Amino acid sequence: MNTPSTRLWRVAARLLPRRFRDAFGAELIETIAAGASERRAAGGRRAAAAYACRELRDLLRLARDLRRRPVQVREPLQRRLHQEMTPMVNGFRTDVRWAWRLARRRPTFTISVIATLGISIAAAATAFGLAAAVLWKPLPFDDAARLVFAWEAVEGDGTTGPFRVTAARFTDWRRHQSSFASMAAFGAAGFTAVGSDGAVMVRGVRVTSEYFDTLGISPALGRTFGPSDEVPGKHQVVVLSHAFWQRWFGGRPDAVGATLHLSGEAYTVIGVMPPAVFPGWPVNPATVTLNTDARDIWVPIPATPQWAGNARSHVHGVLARLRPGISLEQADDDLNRLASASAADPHGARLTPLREQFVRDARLPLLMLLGTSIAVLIVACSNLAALQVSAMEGRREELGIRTALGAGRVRLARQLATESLMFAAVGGLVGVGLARLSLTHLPSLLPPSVPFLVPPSLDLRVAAFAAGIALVAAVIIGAWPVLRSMTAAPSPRGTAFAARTMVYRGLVVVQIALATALVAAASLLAQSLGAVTRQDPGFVLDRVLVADVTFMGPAYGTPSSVAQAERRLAEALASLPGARGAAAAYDHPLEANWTDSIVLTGAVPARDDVRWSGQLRIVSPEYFDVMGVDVIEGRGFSEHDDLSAAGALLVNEAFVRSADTGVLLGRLVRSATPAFSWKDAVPSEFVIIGIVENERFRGLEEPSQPAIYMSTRQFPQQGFTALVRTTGDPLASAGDVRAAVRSVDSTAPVSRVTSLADILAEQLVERRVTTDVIGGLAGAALALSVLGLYGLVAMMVASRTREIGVRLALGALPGAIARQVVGDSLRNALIGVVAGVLLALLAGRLLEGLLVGVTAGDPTTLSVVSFTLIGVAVLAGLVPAVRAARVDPARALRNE
Amino acid sequence: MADRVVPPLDELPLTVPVFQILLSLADRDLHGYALIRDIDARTNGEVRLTASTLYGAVARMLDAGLIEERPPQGDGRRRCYRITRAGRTLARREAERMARATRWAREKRLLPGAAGRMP
Repeated sequence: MNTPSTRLWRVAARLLPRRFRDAFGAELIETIAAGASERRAAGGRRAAAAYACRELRDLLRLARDLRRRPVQVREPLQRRLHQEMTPMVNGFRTDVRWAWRLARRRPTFTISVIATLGISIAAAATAFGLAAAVLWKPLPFDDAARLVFAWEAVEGDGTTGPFRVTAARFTDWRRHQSSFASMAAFGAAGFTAVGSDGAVMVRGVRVTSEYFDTLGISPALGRTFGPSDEVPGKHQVVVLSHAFWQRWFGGRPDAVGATLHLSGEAYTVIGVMPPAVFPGWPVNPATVTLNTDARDIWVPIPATPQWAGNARSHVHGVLARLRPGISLEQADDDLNRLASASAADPHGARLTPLREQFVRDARLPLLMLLGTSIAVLIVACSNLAALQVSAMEGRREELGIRTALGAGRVRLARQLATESLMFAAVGGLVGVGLARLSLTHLPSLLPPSVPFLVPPSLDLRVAAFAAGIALVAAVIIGAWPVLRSMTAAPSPRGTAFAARTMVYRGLVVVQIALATALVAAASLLAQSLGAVTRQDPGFVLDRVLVADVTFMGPAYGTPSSVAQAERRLAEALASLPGARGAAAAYDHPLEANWTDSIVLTGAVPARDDVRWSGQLRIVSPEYFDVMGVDVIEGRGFSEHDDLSAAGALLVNEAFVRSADTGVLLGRLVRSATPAFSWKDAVPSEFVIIGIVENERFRGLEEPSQPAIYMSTRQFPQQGFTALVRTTGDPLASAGDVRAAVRSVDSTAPVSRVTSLADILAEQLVERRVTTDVIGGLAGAALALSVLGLYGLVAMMVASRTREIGVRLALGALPGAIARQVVGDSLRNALIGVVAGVLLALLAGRLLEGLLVGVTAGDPTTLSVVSFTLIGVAVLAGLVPAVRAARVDPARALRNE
Repeated sequence: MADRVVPPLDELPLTVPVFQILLSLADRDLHGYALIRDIDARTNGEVRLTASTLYGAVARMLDAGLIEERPPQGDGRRRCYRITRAGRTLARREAERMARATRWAREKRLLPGAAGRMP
């Protein structure tokens, strides 16, 4: 209303003190105006004037009175209400502000919630990022889904093979197949090159001309190989890797056309590749790595009839690109039909998609890591949910007032949901930040065997995953408070307490169940790690230095020249001050992988149909002594078993067992040894002169395989591993070993110097890291669930203080009270542990592939874990139990 | 909300406006103008509060915790007031005091009726 009279009254009201005017002025004037119009209607102008006079008089009196005796006018409730209720009106932004105010009022709670959420979201997001980088990210090749590796394998026998491919087999496949757009073979080739700082090893790959086209990688400079480069005599051309080009030619474009001397022969540089990712040399079909810098150069394989006809040397990896529309199964059938049609030999084909090939064993640990971190996240969330449930009790009053002040249920629910969302959002941000850090730094800490096809990073997918789990976390954390505010008014203490306890109990049971399952899994993995490390490798592992040595070049044209150089080196190494002995072997025992077969020739006619396959080991006469491998029957190699003597061969116990053909010692066999490099200069028939103990050739996790040993004196290898047994730290002798190699041949490169123990550690690091990480996560889950259980018991005790006081006052014994509290804790733990054991049995199937020496359902492990958890639960109940027993009845009753 | 009772209002006797406001609020919540009309009607025009008197009293009573504000109702502009427990107690004591005074007056034959009996 805004009439002339109200305007006058408004002027008059200025006499009143400001605070009073602010609070009541408007209403006062409105009331006066309403009274005036009523008087005017009833008694005319005169009555209205009398009324106005009276009002004015009292207004003046009030003004005087208020100046003498001020009133503490509080802010009008309406305005206060307005402030309180604004969030309920203005929506999300104010909801957030409200939650923020609340968060600031209880900083410890807020920080612990956000830290817990942040860390567990970070763990899950990191696990997801790692898994995505290995399992799901697109491979860095054109249309990579069509790329496959082809191996040889024995059909119908999943355990035999896969093997690398012979040149004859590859040629056959390539000629007759119809499923592939292209197919290429590749194999390792070591060269030496003399640069400014002496001789270096150049890691090369021999490839057929289709190699780069199959991968779909074009050169950065020049060209790649064509069929003409495979023609023998025209094959001395080379393609450089980007890194080698930078290193050797300083990145000059005129490198194309230049000449590069490799192992003393001149090669013409025809192209330079971009810094792309290439498959590494298949050490064995189980280990193909992808690397940007593993290879220096590529050279063509000259297509000689000898090469194309070699059906013995399983030395090639084969990459193939499926024709569009052809499935893996069709291609598999195609190649296997060829195999059965072409030869009497049992090897068929086995195709492995490119990603499968690289991922292999990493899938299980990565998925386990992801699963475990999500389980921990669930434990953490239910812990926080339980915290919220008990915090709700403290906020009962507050929420009651809000409802009384007119906040609608939906409104309240929305605010509580906003609060949870805010926790999750901030926790999620913290988590994403931490995940970004760990994804950048973790890969360098992880074993090199983790096959990162692309470096892990915090990409959109990982961020979306983190956001998703943060949302799920918000739902878990906020569900109870929101549901409570929706379904029930702030209710009498009793009923709310019962419902709350049920929910809280449920959450605690979930936590204990997950913790039990995780601890069981971690314990099984730890036992497996222990079992693996306790395996006997069959040789003495300690204090052995390993060095890869190459004698290559024009000086080593004959087998005897290589054998002599190697003998001189062995002598030089054995006489080093820190050495107790030295031996040479083609591949050191932990990573050996050369399978071959022999045929018994003693029988007439030669039984060509009976072949025995085994690991082919070419070792120097000192090998068995130096490595501590016992010769059980017959004798070991001697210096007399050389190129001029009859071929001698040893087999191991596993071979004897697998051959199962009576007495082997002294029998004559024909080797299927690749005579590729030395032809007739080396023996092709051998006498079995001895039987040795089993050694493990591929680390401690693979069982001992049948093996055939030949002497380096009869079958010299240009590239081999020197093994030096030392008196002290093997790596301390590294310098001496290099010097010894130089003293034999100053141009011979030594490409790697390490120790057997380090190689083993590297082989075990993946298992160790998996075990440690899952152990750590299980520990975190256990700690969280114990905290949850403790919180539950403490809450029960606190809310029953009065009852306990009454019972104590009535003569109950404190011990009985304490027992009851502990018993309650125990009951919850039991339910959780039983559920956890069931969960562990279910999840155990996934774990099986990683277990050694223990089964997933191992009763000892499960019962030890169960009892441990129950024990911990009792401990968690103990503190509140003691508190309950010490309740002072008088005080408990007074407080109420 | 505060049940505190702050001097000087807890001292009897209460002023006429304070007592009448408490009486009017005894059985329902009312806003300012409605209070004036209710008191007017209830006392047959004997007590006619001006707006200033009313709001002066209301301010002090709010301060003392005898009444409290209620969220606006209906048209949503006028504040309503509700009597607090303290306000009710105080009004009852004032009424008892008046009853005693009436009894004493009867004993002295200032008023008709039997002494010691409420009319």
